[in-house]
Amino acid sequence: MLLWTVMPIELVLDGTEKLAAYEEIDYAGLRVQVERFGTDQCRIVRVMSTEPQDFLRSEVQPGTVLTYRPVLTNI
Amino acid sequence: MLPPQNKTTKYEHIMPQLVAIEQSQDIEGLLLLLNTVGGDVEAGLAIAEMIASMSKPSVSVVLGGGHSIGVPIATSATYSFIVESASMTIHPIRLTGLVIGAQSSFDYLEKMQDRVNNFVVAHSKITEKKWKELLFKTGELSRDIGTSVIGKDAVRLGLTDSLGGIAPAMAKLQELISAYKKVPKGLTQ
Repeated sequence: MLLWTVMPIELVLDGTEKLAAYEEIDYAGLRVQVERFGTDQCRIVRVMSTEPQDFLRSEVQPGTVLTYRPVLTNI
Repeated sequence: MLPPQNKTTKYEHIMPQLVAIEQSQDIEGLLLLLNTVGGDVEAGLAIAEMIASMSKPSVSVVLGGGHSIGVPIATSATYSFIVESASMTIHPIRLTGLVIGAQSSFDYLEKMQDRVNNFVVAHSKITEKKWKELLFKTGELSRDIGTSVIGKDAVRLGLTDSLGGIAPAMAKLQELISAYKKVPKGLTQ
């Protein structure tokens, strides 16, 4: 990769070694890639869609934090 | 446009957004607020080319910093603004990782640099001679060769069109939108 930046190289490459574990979930009618953190939260990393308009949707912008909620089933 | 791990919004999200903006019936123009330290050359040039080739009018405002690959992005808009305190760092492309010291490595790097040079010269009022002078200046940056251009100087050199912030940028965008609307589209029967 070619980089053109004024940032120190140590800062730019910080965290490159550690690959985060991503998972894919269905959310708001879309397939989104999320990064889990804590016990019940995840952050949107990427929108997996072939429809350009989906990328303008504010509820799925990368960085958005989602919370998993417990749901009672089999009642 | 640093590598993906430094950002939440990545170029793979920005590029389809630009396509959506171009396609949308409701969006009439694009206001770009730039504050970047630079980064990925390929991604930056791709975004700059996409903005430059959009049919809808766009206005860019450089706030804080529009360094490195941020410069072509700033110039890619139909009209560009820079605030008085903002700065733009112009310096030659750097390569990270393993580099084989062969002639072809230097040629490759030179070609990459030429792509940036050609884009900036084609999309702003700066001359190629002046641009290269800024690019290879020594003694101005402590750890690199190049120049740090601030607000007024960016306008004087022709890198950006005007000095100003959000209000003039919005006014200019409105003006460009109304001019764009007047141009007839499609075949006139």
